[in-house]
Amino acid sequence: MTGGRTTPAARIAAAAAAALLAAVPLAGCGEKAERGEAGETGAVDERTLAVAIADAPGLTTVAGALTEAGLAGVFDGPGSYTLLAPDDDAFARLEGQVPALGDPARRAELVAILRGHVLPGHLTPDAIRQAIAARKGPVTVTNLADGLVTFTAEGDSLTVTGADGSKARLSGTPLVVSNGVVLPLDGVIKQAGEGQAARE
Amino acid sequence: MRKFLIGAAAIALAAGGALAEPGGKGGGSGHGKGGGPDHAAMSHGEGKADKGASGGPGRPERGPDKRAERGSDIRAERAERGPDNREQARQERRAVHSDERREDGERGERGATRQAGKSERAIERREERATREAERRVVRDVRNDREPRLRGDDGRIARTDWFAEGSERFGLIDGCPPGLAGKNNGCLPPGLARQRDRDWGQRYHQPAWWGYDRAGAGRYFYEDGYLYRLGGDDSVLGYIPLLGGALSVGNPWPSTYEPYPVPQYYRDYYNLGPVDSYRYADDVLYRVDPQSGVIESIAALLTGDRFAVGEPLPAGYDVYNVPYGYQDQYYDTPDARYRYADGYVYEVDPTTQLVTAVIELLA
Repeated sequence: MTGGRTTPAARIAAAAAAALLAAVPLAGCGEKAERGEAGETGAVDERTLAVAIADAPGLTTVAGALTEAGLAGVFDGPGSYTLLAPDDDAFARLEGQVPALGDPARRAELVAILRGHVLPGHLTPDAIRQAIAARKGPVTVTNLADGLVTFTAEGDSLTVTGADGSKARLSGTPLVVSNGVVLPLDGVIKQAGEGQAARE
Repeated sequence: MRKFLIGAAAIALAAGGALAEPGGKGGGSGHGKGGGPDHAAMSHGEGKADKGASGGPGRPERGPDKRAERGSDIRAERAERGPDNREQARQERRAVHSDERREDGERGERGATRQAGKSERAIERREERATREAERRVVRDVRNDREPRLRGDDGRIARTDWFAEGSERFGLIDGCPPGLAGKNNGCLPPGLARQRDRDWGQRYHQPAWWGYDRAGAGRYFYEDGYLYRLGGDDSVLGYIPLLGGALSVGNPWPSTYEPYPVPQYYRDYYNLGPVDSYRYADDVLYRVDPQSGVIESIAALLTGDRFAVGEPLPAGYDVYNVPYGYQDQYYDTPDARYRYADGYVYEVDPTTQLVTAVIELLA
């Protein structure tokens, strides 16, 4: 930050260098125990979340939903986000329970559901696991829908529970990109607005 | 939605906070160690500083939607501001060390040329360090502004008091939405009029499902992008335009939601442009066409969480989440934790869980 502004190309080169550095063990760096690394997710690439999601196999439904909801631009900007992305199989299982794409009348519902799957910042599975280990139990993360999600570790897998109790497992390969992370899920962690009674 | 952090004081306070000595013990508000990021930078040594000088890996361009239209102006504005800030830091630093300079000069007059040169280099190093501090823009005393309620064109109160902590009303507009009012049906949502979908158990009729936990007691009805608050006779008492519904790309911005000038830092961070080109509601920043007021895109989703130096870290930040491009500077240590929200990194004391510094990410 001492050298003023740089070109995007320079940033991309720096990102690549950073990814390489991240892979090098640093002696005496125990203090970095909770730093989020690319780790199992591989190198951080220079794409934005919007591009990474659009390109991701198995996430075509959520990609389409984000575009339709007008949220794709959010993931192409300067803010850093982590998207808990239900995979195509999850949407297929929930057919009829989640507002269908292409229905403007229910788009607000779709957005509300998606918003519950967005977390602030750059959360990697490694960072989540380390936090769980440090706390010796579940950890909570705020979402962008005024709620909290809870991560728990069950063996090698991570489970996330939404504010309404809906659970899903992290599945597939996380996408770690310049402005955030995509964590594929095998389910949805915010129930649709239509369906079961929700009287309090 | 929760309160949206107002960092209006951030810019003004940045230089003062930034001028704290490495380690921070002599500067800032006196909270905590005050040395988190400084410590981090020092621990990483020159190599990391050099890396940082490249602008940071993975830092995305700001505001893609408007880059083509306004980007050059914004970049120019930043280009002017950045060096000014650095120069200001240098000048303040020079003022602080003016006595030292005089002393150095006197020594030089005594013929200790080599000593003077050494001192100059030391001063230069200190200035460089001060400059780096200023660029890091460590803000140690951000406070939250309270925005007065805004009055709509028709005199009704648009209760845009999302900003007022503890408020029980969030974004609820009194009266009838313009589209519905024009139908002359007594402001009756069509779905309600047709008596269909009146399963009050549907989640979407509950404000909490939309994130409006504190919307206030009452009966609500969701339809077609609005959440209506109903009176006992099903008359519409008020309404909330919803993200993705009434507040969708291509729709006009509700006139009762007057433009809200978010703090300059947010404008810069999210590349929002002038005040007539963006809008804020419900922890969401929108880009709008300045002429037509039509929503062009959604610029950012915000947590709205409240952070302030000396106050506890809000719930929901158990996991390290600093943006990748800044992880070399702000990583957890036994003495400090770092968490990100809404364009800021927050330093937290692991023991007390109190926020010890608010750090802007723009240089």
